[in-house]
Amino acid sequence: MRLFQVLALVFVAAMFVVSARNLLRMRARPLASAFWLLLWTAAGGAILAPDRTTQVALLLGIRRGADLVIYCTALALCVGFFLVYVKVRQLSREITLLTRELALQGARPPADRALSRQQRAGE
Amino acid sequence: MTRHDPAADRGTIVVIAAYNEAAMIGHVVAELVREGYDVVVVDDGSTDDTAERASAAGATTLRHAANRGQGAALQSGLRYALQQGARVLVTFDADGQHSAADLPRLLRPVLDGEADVALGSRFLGNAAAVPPARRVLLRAAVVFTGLASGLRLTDAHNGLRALSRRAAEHLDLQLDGMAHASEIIDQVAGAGCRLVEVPVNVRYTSYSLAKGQRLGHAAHIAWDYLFSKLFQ
Repeated sequence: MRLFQVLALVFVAAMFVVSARNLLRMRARPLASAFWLLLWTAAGGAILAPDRTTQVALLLGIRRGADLVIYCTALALCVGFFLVYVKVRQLSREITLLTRELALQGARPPADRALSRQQRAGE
Repeated sequence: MTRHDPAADRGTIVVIAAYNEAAMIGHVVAELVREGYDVVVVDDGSTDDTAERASAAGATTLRHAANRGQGAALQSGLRYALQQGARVLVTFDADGQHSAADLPRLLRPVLDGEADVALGSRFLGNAAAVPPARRVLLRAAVVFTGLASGLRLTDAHNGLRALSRRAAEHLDLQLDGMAHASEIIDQVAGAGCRLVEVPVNVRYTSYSLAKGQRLGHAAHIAWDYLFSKLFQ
């Protein structure tokens, strides 16, 4: 086994443990955790047996295993960006709601109510 | 100028969203207050003294601690106006483009119970003053709104609107930015509110044109609106 495989497997194993802990401690949604566990398992398999990726790629009509990994990574990045974008919009919405509540609590009448009445009377 | 009759307005509150409008807000508020309207200005995180000038001119002021966008500011103002018991709510621009003289005509169908929402349209009146580039953008907005909501309007992005309390209660704007204009139409139409368009005048000045929407904004507005329809 090459040095890169060892280092990469250590990283993937650590991420697998973190995802498993999150699932067991109910810190993440089960579906999301299952996705991450599957992802780290697939990554570990690809690192341990890189030649297998070519077999899987051929099944999917792709010539090389490396191309399959690149395509999957690109798709994963797109999904990741999309999820982050949705999360950012959600956070922005929550900031607006909070800002609104503070503004409503701090509503101020006109500087000079008497002046306002005079203005209305056209004086 | 026809003087507004406070006794007849049955609880009309004018809501103005303002961001760094210190140069104009005092004049805008003063004009409305002189005509007898109650005015609420939502200062959307301005870095100048917009709120102070609005207050000095006779408006009730709310301040957003951070700039959230015109849609967010209008929703805050509408919510405040509803809390104050407003029976008719008007949205009005802060940059001096709108005229208080148009309000009686705008309010008439809502006050008479003929409509729940009266939308101001610069194209129903004399549209000669609309700059060509702005005209193209506004026409595009009309087409876009037509496709999105199925409504045929002549001016989909005019900030001058009158809403009955019933219509305003149906509003829950999710879009903080300029796409709120399409969202307002979407929500009131979806709630079965009766909409009419009323001719209004829009004053174009170098100040208001500098603050207005650009082509890049239009693309962002369309994206914002479509994304919310698909994913929110």
